[in-house]
Amino acid sequence: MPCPVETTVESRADRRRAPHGQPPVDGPLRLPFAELNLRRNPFGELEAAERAAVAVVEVDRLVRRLEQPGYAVQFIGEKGRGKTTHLLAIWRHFPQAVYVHVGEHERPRIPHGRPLLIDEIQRLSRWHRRRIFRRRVPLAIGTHEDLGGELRRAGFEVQTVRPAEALDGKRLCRMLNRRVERARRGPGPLPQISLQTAQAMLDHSGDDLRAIEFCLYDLFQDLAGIQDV
Amino acid sequence: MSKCDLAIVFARPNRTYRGGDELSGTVHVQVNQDVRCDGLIVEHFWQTHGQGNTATGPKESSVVFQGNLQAGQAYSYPFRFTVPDGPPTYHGHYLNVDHYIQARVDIPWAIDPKLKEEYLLLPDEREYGNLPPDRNQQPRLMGQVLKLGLPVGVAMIVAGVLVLFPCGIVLIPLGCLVVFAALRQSLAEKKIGKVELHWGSLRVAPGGEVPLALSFTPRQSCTLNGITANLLAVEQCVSGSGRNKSTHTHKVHQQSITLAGQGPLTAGQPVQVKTTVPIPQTNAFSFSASDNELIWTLEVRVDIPLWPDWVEKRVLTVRPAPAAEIAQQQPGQPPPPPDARRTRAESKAAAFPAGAGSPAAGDLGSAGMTLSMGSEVTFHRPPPEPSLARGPAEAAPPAAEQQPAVTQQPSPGTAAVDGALGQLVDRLGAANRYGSARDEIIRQYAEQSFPCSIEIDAVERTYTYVPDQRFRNGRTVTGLLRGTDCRVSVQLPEERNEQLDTLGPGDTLQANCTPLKWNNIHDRLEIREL
Repeated sequence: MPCPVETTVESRADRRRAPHGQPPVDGPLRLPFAELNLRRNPFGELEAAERAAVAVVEVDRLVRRLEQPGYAVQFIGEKGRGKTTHLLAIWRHFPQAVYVHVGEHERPRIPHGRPLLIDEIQRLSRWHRRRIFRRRVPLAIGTHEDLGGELRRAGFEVQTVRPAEALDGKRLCRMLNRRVERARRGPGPLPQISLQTAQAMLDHSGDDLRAIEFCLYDLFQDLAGIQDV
Repeated sequence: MSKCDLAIVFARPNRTYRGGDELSGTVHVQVNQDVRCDGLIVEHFWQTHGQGNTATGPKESSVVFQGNLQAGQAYSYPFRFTVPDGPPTYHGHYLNVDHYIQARVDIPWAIDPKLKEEYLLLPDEREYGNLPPDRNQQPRLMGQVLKLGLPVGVAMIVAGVLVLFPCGIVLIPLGCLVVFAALRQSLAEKKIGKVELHWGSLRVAPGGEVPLALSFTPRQSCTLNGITANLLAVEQCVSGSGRNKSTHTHKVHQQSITLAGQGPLTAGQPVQVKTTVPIPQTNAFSFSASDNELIWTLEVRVDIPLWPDWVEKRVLTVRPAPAAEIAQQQPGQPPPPPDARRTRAESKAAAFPAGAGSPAAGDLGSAGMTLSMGSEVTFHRPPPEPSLARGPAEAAPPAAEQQPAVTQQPSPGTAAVDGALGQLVDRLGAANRYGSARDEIIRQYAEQSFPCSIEIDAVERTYTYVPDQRFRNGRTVTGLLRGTDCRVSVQLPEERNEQLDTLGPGDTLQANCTPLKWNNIHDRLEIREL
């Protein structure tokens, strides 16, 4: 599906393109995205710590409750809906917490942490999950399936959050501009994402934040100068 | 407000360096709150950014300060590193590789303030890592399909029909596809005969060329749609993991070169194609790190109408090379200065002038394309440069004048492959691996000596029985003959042990050698130092 937003100015790619269909010949090396006053494409893949730093999520209420034992919060949603971002945002509030991402077909050793943050916990076997829940430490989990029943049976007080439900144009606009700001190179203006664009993205890709990021990545890759997108 | 603000100032305002340069600068710290600093750590490393998961290179760090930082004070700390040899800075579409200096204030029980600033690393001929691991190899998937495709495909069909029927019926078309992929080459060769394809060196610099020699003798008369070489460079980046994994692919360069056009083939009439595939001038060098790759491939396709095509593919390693080498490989460039390194074609012509038994018609390194079908041999060769008129004595210094030397770094002015040695390597490459042809060729060169430059893979004790006493307790160096994809093992005398034991993988050995034999098991040339 094509991206709903297009730039009309000469793009970075146009300027790099060699004449007469010749293969691209790179010009002299320059600092990346310096012409946009950025250090990198703001919508590229981020490391966990960086993703946590740019998160626009409200977790203060959850953070207070996660200080108590016997409390669990589960973030439910499909991929690209913000589960990991919420977990990483919580992680920033607890220096002694442990964040574990469970990869496909992995059986990772779950270390001790308080609270314990486990992403993609549905990939663990029921038996493995039950052993973790027996630890009775505060839990924050990201999952594709509702594990409320299992948690309650293990004696947890459970709160369920579906991150995608709270997403609207204004919030998305704030999230996207936070990412642009985070990639800032120096003082001065930056490209800004308008509310209109954020709304168009939401209409186009729904609540799939990852699809929105991919689309904006290509857009910024072609952006020739600082302008509102 | 952060506990302290950091700034990094480079000594060179343009932040542009080459491998081995000294990188220096200053970290400025403006303290906003009193803090106990367990260490002001300055590190340098490379890192990818873009659509792939971030890959980070090895870090080198130094602690430039430890102690208390007082609010309102500004401090400056100088730092100094040696710039790594690679990978060079690259800014592509999905893949970017940048080098960074990072300053981090280690504050106990708090988030560490940190700042990283890029610097630009220009491409350089020095060796570096993060290149595709397999040289002269087929892409991994294709190699697996050719090796295991037939049994796996048959197993899928059998399982689909006998074990999992009717649900497993979906396995039957999949199995057929796998079997077809595995048998495609064999089916194509039923028509056009066994295809011999010889690749030149697959390590090539931008602006250089990959030599190709393809020959076959059709078993049946048929029509050919054409023979093409497809050069492709792609950035391949993986983001996420598990079910969240996405692979992003961007074509950096794509070029299709027609080696032979449409035409009829007659059974029994041999077909030969010799050409060189040019690599464009680009900064997109081969790169390989976890979840981030820039891969160059070269595919040769013999297109047979209404029949499976014959296809073979190789991964190229496109990396920076000495400027002189690249300049000489550019078609249409003025001839290099007399003291610059000569091309292999020039060296060969000088070492084997016309009438001296030179098998020049089979040279992979010839600049023009040769397509010969049957007895009508058409030969296109560029007119000889003035330097070609030089005799062998002038072109190649006598062996006695060549001083064997062991060096840690390749010396840019040294010819990597001597003309006669290049000739030998090409003839060995073109000969049948499993017959006695290679031994016969080596016998012809047995009395000659060649100055060789070898990229070392390993230095080991010589274990084989050697009649010559001097070599019995010596060392054997295995590696790659520089400028070629020919693997060699060199027997060296005991007197050089001390010198050789200081060398390791990646170093370059220079020696004056004579060929001994071809080792079929290891597929390499065995040579001995004179």
